[in-house]
Amino acid sequence: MTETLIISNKVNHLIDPQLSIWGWEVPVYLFLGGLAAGALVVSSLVILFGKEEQYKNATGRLIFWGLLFLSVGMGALFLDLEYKVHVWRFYTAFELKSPMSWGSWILMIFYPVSFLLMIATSKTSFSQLRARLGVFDGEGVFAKATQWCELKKNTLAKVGVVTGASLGGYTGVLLSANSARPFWNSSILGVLFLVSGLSTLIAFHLLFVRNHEEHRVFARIDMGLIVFELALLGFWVLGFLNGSEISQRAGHAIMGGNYTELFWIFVVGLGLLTPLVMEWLEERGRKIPVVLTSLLILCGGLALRILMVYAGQETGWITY
Amino acid sequence: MKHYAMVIDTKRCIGCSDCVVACKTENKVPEGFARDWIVEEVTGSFPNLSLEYRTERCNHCIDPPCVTVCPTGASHILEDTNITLVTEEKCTGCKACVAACPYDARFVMPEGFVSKCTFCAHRLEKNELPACVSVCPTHCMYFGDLNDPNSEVSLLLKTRKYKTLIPEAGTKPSIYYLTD
Repeated sequence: MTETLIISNKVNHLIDPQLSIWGWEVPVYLFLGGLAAGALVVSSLVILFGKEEQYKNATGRLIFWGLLFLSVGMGALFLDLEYKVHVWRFYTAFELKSPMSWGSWILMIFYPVSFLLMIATSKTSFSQLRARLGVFDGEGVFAKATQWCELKKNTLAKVGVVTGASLGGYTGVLLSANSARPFWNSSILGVLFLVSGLSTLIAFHLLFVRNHEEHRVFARIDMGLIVFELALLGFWVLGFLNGSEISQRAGHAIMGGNYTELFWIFVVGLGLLTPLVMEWLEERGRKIPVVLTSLLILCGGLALRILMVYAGQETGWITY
Repeated sequence: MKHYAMVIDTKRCIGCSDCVVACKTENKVPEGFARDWIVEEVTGSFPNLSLEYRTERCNHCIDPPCVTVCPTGASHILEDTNITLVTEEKCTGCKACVAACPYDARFVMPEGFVSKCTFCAHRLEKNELPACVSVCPTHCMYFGDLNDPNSEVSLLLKTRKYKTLIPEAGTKPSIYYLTD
């Protein structure tokens, strides 16, 4: 039994007495990255299922939002870098075993795929803008490029599903690959973040859906995703309860520790269970404000990432 | 390949912090930062207590997660050794390596790049011992190549009881503490 422990001279900024290297920028990036991943996956699936005409808002426009989310998220990530002038170094190497390196390159695939898919779906998603610009029709270079995109739309959508899913999963793997932080060190995190990204994106999409049938379909998908996410969170918690001593110590953060309320009230209660019940009641014909349901899901998604990043840093092998 | 290791005799260490001062001086570690530090641990229940002083630093692990997670290759292993280093010019300050280190041995310099103990690789090139080892007034620190069976560190580990810190993290640390 350790009676006393005195550490001298260890006063490193952001490390001691408590690891706090990642602030608000990282959870914001993970949240927006998840939304962007969801946007590319959902829109690509809509194209592949041949529902582009039916769900006009769920293809090109959704991808546009995804690009916007990702760009803001990358801005936050840039702010987090301590040596900003070296940001280009991410793209002078590909480190096979580094999740962050994979993530950097996935982001570079995400942009062109999204752009090409946006062009490919511009006829239905941006018909007025396309007509006004004019360059996408006729015989010019842009027109030929557009024709190519339209011809290869399904192939691009397949690449879109893989790229989006990789980005969504990566946001979780980035944390879970750290065996030094037992709170993160669970292989569930990759799938959890992907599912959460899809769910939050659909919640965002529902804010703009006016068609009753489209709303019903996407709300049902979202309910399924929320149930899946709850199950994944359950497995994650079970992992702590049945894990080694260090794992149990890490799990204490959400089971009696500093993050208990954030997890159980804001992530599980208000972020998942409440909107699930609201969507279910809506399905049964009750009048439920969509804005409220969507906002709860979006805030829950952000709360999940805030919890993960902050609580994870408080766990480790070192006990001082 | 050389497996550089540091062997620290906890029965001789008095926690004087000379190693810390020597490191800061040799490596020009700025004020408010430290590449090595002292841990004073009292274990047992009164009146049966035992005191252990340890000088701690980067463990230059054989399987270093800080190198694996680095997205730019800035965090790397010095060729033909187990010494983990950071190339300042390649570091983005993303802090992935800091999160990956189970020993919390890395930190971010005011300039933005990550820093840590280097086993004084620049001194090893000149066949000199790391600064911390060379100044220790109680001669409790030993340094050498574990792949050489006749080195001082190899012989010490053959004859004395020892431990490493957090072996269960699976990184195969190269700092050994003699315990009796």
